[in-house]
Amino acid sequence: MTIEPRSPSNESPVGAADLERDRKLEVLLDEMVASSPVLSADFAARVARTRPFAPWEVRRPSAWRAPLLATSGLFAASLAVFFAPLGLLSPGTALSVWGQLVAAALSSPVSTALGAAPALAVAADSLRSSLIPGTGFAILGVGAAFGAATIAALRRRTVRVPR
Amino acid sequence: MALTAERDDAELVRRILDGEGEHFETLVARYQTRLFRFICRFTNDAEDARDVTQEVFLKIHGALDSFDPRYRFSTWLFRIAGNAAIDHLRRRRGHTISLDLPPDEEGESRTIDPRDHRPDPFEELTRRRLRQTIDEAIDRLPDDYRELISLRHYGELPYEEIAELKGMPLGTVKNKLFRARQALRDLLPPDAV
Repeated sequence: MTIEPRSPSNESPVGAADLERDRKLEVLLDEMVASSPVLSADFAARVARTRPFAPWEVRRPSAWRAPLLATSGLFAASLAVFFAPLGLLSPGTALSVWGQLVAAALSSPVSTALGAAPALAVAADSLRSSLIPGTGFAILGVGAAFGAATIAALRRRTVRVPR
Repeated sequence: MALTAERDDAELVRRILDGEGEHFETLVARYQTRLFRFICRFTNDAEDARDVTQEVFLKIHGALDSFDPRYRFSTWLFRIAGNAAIDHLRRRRGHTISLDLPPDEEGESRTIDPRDHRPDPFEELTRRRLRQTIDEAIDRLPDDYRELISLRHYGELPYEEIAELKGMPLGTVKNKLFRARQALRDLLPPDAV
């Protein structure tokens, strides 16, 4: 059963008893609503943490500062790592690995990183016999930074709040 | 008091747009309960309401730059929430879940028993029944009455904000809400109120 809204023409004057009953119903409604289920305490934090980039954020130049710095850092580090030992490593291998890592940073990070794996193995073999100490650690550092950046980018894309 | 909240909301939005994204959490925390209860009125399901509430906040965040600070933030938020809840109901329409399980090993048909078997104190049970009665009565109200009651009592919006949201004079909102509650009372058992 549903009821029709009352038109002003069939409204009766409001009496004190009506107002009192209305007040009681207001109180009852408020009590019922107050005792109804609520969201978990960390809902706001989770929504804020997992929100995707908004279009207005992407348009803001300051939003690009961190990604640009990170990309520049990776670019510079990879240049240093792959061009410093040119005397020991063949220029072809160095250029190939470096080129694939740059492509990974700029386009599809995961698939390109996987594609670069064989070349990285070749580079690692060459460097193992290298006399320059610390080069391997530098490569590991660049790889770790790249991995962390990729994970951060993928996490930022998550839209749903985990339950 | 209300004016301060409006100013705070606008200020928070301005700061978020200026790059202080951490204030978005404050904005969510400020409205999450009222918005969730308001949406719950539409969905009648807490899980669905939580998803829609989250969806509304993400939508709000995505469109924050289109918020006009000359108006109330809550008015904007609840307008979007109302539309999202209606969209959700449209999507859900026709998508019902069967309570029938596949037949057991002996071929007997089985049905999920949706009752809650956990022991509940008598008072909690009484309150739950009364809440259910009120919810069902609100569902039977005409659309405009139901929406006004949801905004006022579940969304906890002041009359002025409802008037702005609905584009109605303040007196009309007060009058219609009074009539809505009168109609609701007529649908409730005499001993409920």
